[in-house]
Amino acid sequence: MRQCEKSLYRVTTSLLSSRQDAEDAMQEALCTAYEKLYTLKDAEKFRAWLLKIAANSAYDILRRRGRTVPLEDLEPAAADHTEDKLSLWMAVQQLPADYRTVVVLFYYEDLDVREISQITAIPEATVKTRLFRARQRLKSLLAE
Amino acid sequence: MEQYDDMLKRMAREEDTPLPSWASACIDDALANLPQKRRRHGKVLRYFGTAMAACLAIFIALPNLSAQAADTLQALPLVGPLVEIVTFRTYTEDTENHHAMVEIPTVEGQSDNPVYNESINTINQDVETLTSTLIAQFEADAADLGDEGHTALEVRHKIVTNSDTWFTLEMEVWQGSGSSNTYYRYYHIDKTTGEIMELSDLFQDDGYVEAISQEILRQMQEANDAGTGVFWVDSEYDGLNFKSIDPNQNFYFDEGGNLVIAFDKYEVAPGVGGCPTFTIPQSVYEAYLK
Repeated sequence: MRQCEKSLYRVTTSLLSSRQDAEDAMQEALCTAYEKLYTLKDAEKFRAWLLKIAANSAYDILRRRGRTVPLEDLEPAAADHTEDKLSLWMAVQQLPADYRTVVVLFYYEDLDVREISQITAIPEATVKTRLFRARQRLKSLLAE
Repeated sequence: MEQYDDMLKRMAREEDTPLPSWASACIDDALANLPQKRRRHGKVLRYFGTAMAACLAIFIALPNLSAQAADTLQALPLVGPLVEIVTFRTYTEDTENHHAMVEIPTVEGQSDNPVYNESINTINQDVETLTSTLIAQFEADAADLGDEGHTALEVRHKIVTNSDTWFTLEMEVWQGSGSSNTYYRYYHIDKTTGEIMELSDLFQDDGYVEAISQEILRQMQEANDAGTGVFWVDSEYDGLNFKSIDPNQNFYFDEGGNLVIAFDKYEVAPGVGGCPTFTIPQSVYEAYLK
């Protein structure tokens, strides 16, 4: 579980704009994973399985809150960096929420489009579209 | 493009952003308290998952009803006095590139049982947040894509069962953008108690998970062998292969009162397989019933 804590942090903060919500999602995901660990048959799939649970926990929080704010208007994810230059992680946090999630799963977690589709429950074509647009924005952000 | 992706992946690997102290403390706290926080249910409605006694043999199932017919349930003789009517309003959006049609049903009923009334409120609130979230996502995607892409959303409801003892509302969500995805949510109320029910609430222990999974696996293999199924049972990519139902897998009771286990699109088969369902003989699971 410890080996996945950064992954857990990245996915929840990519989906949720407030630290409080991210904390709730992380705790919820860990509890759910603990409860349902017996359903995981392939230990090698643990990280993707945990991230799916984390994404679901974050979506549940968004649903309970009744997300009505357009994604573009959401505040960037909690910024806990201390570096001065614009790192990839800092650039990622400046992306809209839905872009952040696919970027985190693709570049940081090294998952493929199909796996991202399964975790986020969005069609593969949408994953590709978001990755394409996010890539353009990252290019621009990192070039600044 | 691949070079740029490779570069970003390398940057991500080499980046050594420390885990923020608040996140580390949060994870420490969660891990330290896991045994105390253990619960049976992990879904949106988990807080209503009180274990209930349920006798499947006495279920009186009604034929499936369309959304339109559902509005006249009150007049049907077999309908119990509790869930009286399901009304719905509709959100629609139709432009050249973007289409949405969302039914937002509201379950209405009266009872002296506060548990039952709370169950109805919970279902209505969950449906409201589900549909409002989907609409918000649709509007955000439509605004983002503009004229450069297409997106579509359709949400429909159906009363699957409304008998003297059981009520089931089905929500079907279809999202399209290039390819499409479909998934379902089911809301069940045991009218004898007023409680919201999940699959695990029907059974006394976890034995049903293995029993039902094996039966589904058998049916999948049989369909594949007959050339009528495309289920993932022996894929080279083992992560795809069906191994077990979720303890709270989607389910409903069909017209004959038979237990039906339902899967979403892509859950156990490629998209061409749609949203498969499996009717489970009572002999498979009756030993595990409460």
